[in-house]
Amino acid sequence: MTCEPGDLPPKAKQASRAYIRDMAIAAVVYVGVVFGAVTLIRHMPFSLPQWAVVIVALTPLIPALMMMRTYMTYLRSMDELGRRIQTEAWLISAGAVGLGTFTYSFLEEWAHFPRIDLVWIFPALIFFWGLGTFIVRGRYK
Amino acid sequence: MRNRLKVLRAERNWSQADLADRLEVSRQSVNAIETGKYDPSLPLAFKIARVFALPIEQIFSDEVEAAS
Amino acid sequence: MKKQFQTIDWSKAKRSFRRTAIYLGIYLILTFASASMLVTLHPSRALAITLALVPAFAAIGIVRAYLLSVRELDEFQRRLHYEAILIAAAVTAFASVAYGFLELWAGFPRLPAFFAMLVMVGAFSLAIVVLNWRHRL
Repeated sequence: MTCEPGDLPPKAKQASRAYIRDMAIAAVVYVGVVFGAVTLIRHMPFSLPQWAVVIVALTPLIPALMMMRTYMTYLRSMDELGRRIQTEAWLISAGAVGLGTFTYSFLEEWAHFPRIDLVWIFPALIFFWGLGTFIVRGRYK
Repeated sequence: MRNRLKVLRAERNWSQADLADRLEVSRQSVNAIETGKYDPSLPLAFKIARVFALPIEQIFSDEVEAAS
Repeated sequence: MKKQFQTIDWSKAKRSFRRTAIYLGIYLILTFASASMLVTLHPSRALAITLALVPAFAAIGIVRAYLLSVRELDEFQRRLHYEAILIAAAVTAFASVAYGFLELWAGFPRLPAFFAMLVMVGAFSLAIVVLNWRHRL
C-alpha cells in the first residue's frame, strides 16, 4: 500500500513509486469522471437520451479498471511474502464486505435503515483491504 | 520450477493416487505439481523429498539450474 | 489394502456437507423465527434492530462451516479457493461500480445491499467450479 522507508531494494522502490503515482492519477480521473458525468446528466440545459445516459453512467468503470491494472502491475513487482499479505488482505476485505452487506440488508429491510447505494461497495472493499493489509502486515513483523 | 516427480513416480511404479496418499494431499494437487502449474510450499516439498528419500535438489530445480 | 485419495475425498466432503447443511438449517430457522416475530409483534425499533441482526449472527455459522471445510483441503486446493474469493471480490467491485452508477443516474431499479453479497457468492461459486475444471484430472 505504501512504501517502507529505506529498507527497499531500488527496483522495489521504483515500482512502489510508480504505483503511488499511477494510483493517484487513476483516483483523480475517477473523481473527475464522476463529477463530469453528474454534470453531463443532471446539470445541462439539454437532457441526454437514455442510451447516452447509460454510456455516461458506465464511464467510471474506466478509472476503476485503471486502478486494477496499476494494482496488478504492483502486485507482480512484489516478492512472495508481499503477495501473500495482499491475498490475505483481500480475503479479509471480501469477508468483511460480504458479511457486512448481508447484515446491513436485513437492517435495511426490517429495521428501516437508510438504503446504501451500491457505488459504496467499491470504496468499502478498498477500505477493508487497506485495513486488512495493515493487520496482516503487523502479523508478519 | 521444474520437477522430476513424474519420473521418480514411474521408477517406483506409483500412480498419482499412490503418491497423493503418501503425501496426504489430493490427486488433483499431485497432478498440478507434476505439470508445473503449482509450486509446493516448503513443508510439502520436504515431505515429497522424504517420501522419495532424496534431497530436494534432486527433485526440484529452478529455471537457472535447468538452463545451465 | 491402502486407503486411496480420490479426486474428491468423499468422507471429508460428506462431513463438511453435513456441517454446512446443519448451519444452513439453523440459519433458516432463526431467520424465519425472527421474521415472523417481526411481522406478528410490530416491535419497537430497538427490538427490530436486534431481530434484524439474528440472521447475520446465524450466517456466521455458515461462514464457519465454510472455513472449516477449507482448512481440511490441501494447500493447492486451498489456493484455488483463495483465487476464487479474489475473483469474486473483483467481480463484485466492478459490478457494483457499473450498476451503482446506473441506478444513481440512469433510473435503473435500486437494489438493496443484499445483491452485492449475492453477486459475490455467485461469482465465487462460478470461479471455484471453473478453477477446479481447469485443474481437472
